[in-house]
Amino acid sequence: MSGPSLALIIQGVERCPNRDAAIPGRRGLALIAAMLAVVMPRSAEGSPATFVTALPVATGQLLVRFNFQTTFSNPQFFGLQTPVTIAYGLIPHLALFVNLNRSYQTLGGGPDVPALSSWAARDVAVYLRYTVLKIDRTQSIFRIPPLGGAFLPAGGNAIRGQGAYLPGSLQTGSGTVDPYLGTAVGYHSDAFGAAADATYRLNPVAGGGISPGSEFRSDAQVETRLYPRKLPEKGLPGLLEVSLDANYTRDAASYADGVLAPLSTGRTLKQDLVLEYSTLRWQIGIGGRWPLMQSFDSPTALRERFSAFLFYEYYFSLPHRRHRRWDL
Amino acid sequence: MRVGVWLAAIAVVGAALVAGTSQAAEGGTRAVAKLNGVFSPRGFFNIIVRLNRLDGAEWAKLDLKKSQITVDFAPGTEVTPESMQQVERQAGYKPGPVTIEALTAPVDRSAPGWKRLKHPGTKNSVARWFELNF
Repeated sequence: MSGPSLALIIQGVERCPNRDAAIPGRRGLALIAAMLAVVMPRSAEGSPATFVTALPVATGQLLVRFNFQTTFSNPQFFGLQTPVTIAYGLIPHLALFVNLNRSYQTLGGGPDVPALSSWAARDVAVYLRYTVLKIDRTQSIFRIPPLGGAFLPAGGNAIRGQGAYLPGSLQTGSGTVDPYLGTAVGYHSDAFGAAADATYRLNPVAGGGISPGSEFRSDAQVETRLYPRKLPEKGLPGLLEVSLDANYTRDAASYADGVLAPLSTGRTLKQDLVLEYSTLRWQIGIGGRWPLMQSFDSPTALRERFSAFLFYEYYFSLPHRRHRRWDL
Repeated sequence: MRVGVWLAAIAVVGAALVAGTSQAAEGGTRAVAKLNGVFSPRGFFNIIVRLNRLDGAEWAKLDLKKSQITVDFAPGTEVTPESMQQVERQAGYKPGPVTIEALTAPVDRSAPGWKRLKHPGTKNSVARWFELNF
């Protein structure tokens, strides 16, 4: 479930910045808590409630979205995440979403200082989305789909190096089943779209390892078509769109082995710029993310400099069971 | 010389294939549905997913600007506005008005937007899935 059994790569811990964390006992716990000041627990992680959430998923449709996201932070942090989002339309109003993720992250390193690294699965998000309000018109579409589910503890929250926990930014899980609730709202017309979501992930304190803390997220997005500016009278052209997303995150306090980590809360606001190209069966996008505001209690918290990401989305039609007339 | 013969043969076979897929036999039925809220290629795919499950639906024409879909059915297929509206509903959209007409003349489907709908015939579900998606 969690811990070092999950494909952990330690490149070296000698003379690492957090070497003192190996000291056991009360002092060790205090130092672990201090170490959490170098956390960037989840703010670099993409929101599982992407704006895909607000759009319809047909009954029997399977959507798979592959993402690659790199993050560069100070001091000397690099992360690579590979989340895969799978959506399946159960009935017209209800869709099931699953987010799988695996990430590589490395902290520190230099001519005389080996880096600390980990490569492991992250927690799996599973949630249902139900459209409670939809206003479909010939010129516009408006949806409000609340969502609810949980993060399952597939990631590691007790990944260690030389007997001590690695810093929170190198942990990949929360160690507990985290209830996950929220809602999305979306509006689209033929030339313009806007969407937003607000979600809360409740992270109960785990008995062991690092609990990254509960998290509130709120995202807002606007998008418009770049090409073709005027749609052709006939047919379905590929569309090139530009999207601006603002992502706000508020992280509650972290815990280490059940002990509150002081100075571990934080708030961030980041801005994404994304270019997307859509066809009937797939969509590809590339974008960058810049922090607009990073407010942490700890003066030594990791501060993101820049993220770049690429995604590819493919739509599948699932075959129906033969001779099930009611299936239509 | 030999290359020229091969190119000519390929051209003849290609022309025959294109002609075979873009011309319809007479006697079919056409349904034209005005869609609500479909403004993206993905929205049209939502509709296609459901049309792939609709017996007799052979061709679909997707018009993004008009937010409209035209579906041609095989001769002998019973088509009602309700069955088309059910497709829209199952795709996640509020159904719009549907008009049904009989096809009495051959149809040219070389215009942009026409897609052949897939109805895999095999019993193997994995093979059907591949046939449907690739």
